Amino acid sequence: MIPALRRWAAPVALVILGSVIGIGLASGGEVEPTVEDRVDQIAANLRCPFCGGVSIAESTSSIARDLRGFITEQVGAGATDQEVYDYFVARYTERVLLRPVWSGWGLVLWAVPFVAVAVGVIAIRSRRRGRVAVPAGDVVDQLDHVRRDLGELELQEAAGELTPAVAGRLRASYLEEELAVAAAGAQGETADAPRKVDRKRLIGAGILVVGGAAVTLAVIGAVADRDPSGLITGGVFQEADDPVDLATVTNEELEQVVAENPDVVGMRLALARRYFQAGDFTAALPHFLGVLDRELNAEALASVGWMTYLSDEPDIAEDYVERSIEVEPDFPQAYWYLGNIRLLGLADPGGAIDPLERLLTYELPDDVRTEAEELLDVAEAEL
Amino acid sequence: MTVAGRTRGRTLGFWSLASACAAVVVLGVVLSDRFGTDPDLTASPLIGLPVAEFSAPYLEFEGELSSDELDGSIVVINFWASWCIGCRVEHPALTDAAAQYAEFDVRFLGILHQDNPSNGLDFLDELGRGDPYTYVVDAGSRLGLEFGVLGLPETFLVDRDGTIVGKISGPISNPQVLVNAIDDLILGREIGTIKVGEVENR
Repeated sequence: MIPALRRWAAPVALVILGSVIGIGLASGGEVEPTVEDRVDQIAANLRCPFCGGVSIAESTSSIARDLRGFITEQVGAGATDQEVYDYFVARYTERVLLRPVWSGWGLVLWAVPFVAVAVGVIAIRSRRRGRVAVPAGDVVDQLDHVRRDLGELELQEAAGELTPAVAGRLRASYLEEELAVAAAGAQGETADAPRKVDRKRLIGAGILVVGGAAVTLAVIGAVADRDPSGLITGGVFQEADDPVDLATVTNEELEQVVAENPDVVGMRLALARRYFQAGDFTAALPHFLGVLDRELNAEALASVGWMTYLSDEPDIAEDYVERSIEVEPDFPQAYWYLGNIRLLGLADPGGAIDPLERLLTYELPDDVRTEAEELLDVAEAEL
Repeated sequence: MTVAGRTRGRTLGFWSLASACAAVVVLGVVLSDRFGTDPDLTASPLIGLPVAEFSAPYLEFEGELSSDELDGSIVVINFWASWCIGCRVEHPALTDAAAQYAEFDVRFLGILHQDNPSNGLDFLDELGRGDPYTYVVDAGSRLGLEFGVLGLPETFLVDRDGTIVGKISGPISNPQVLVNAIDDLILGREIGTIKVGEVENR
């Protein structure tokens, strides 16, 4: 065997074991998770079947939202995590699970480190047993016995009791015996020395395992919370709708990023929102429409509706905002727009009351609430 | 170190290396098993299982369709959306088959999935409706999830006992594929999963 291999095989195996333990520690140990935590956890462990390999938690697509809604519903209704996983596996096979499972090949995968440890323990134990086979005291007794036999043989030969041939044969056999016992004794005497080395090795092994576990835990901790849209792998932007700190990016830079990643809806929407909030509707409109080319987005629909209203097209504006509410019934801004459009654009105070009342059911900043209440008063007065 | 000590050192080294090699081999087998299969798995694990009971709002009128109303009929369930190009391609094959097999009590159910009802209606206004053909809306994508839909279009075939017996994955650009599948179903032959093209996701 190549000496370097022999030297490194055991330490490498121990570091791997440590890593496995680290992964185990990192993935376990949650205490009494809330419903929301459980939903997050389940959504993170399930592949979104429609979204190109990312988890339901990571994807911002509407199907992922629907699936998340389903998980929330099930967990709320008392389903266990396993029941939810089973439901998905029954329809999408085990491929839907992002974590290895305790069955089939998954079980084999989990079992490998434990089997390796068991083999290691057996190897070390059998090594110990071999070493203490000949106790040192027995060797001394046996050597004395052989030497006594040799002494007696010489006496018998001198007294002429044995022929030289017989004496020679016996001597040879006694000497052979002596050599064998002496060799066994040498083995026994060294028994204590490697034991000290063993202790050192054990400490070294412990350090390797604990160190491996600690490093793995640290690495997992460092990468687990990274932004799913980050470019840690140097790849392209994926699903960048997730929270990205855009505060430090200028409009021009954002324009460039959007141009390079035309299908990343989140970035385009963020850019459109900036222009919209700055009142630059000419710049905002093409980006909102670009978003709508790619997905039905409530904010884009409502914003386009509002801009259309401000361009004196209240009929079309109402249609856009209504579609926004259809897509996302819980986007309060849309109710504000609809109330305004119906009351002020379409002279339909009756139609304005419902959206304004709905708007007031949400948590709103004080100034918005006051404005909404005033508008509602106007609508009711005009009825 | 004595001769015996060196031998024992070798034995431990051998065991360590042997374990490591065994682990690598096992991992290799596990991974190659994964590589060997199609990650874009279209075969539905639901084939051979009964359709779950469901209800879904009609696309074109008030009220809901209950799955009870389909009991005893052969049902062709097609998941579609207005944004799905393949759905446009296969639309004539579905509407033609609906008319052709009405006398065999084969019911056609179009489930508008991941789309806005008004877009769905525009799609039907433009491309025509099957007759007879029932269109419903998949609210909250629950039916898509129930059927394990992976993308659009997907078409499921359900026998008179309410068992899912076949799935056509992708756009049915060749109407004969659908006709053959329905014929097989009527004649009680096995269908399974038929992949005719790629499915789309929004």
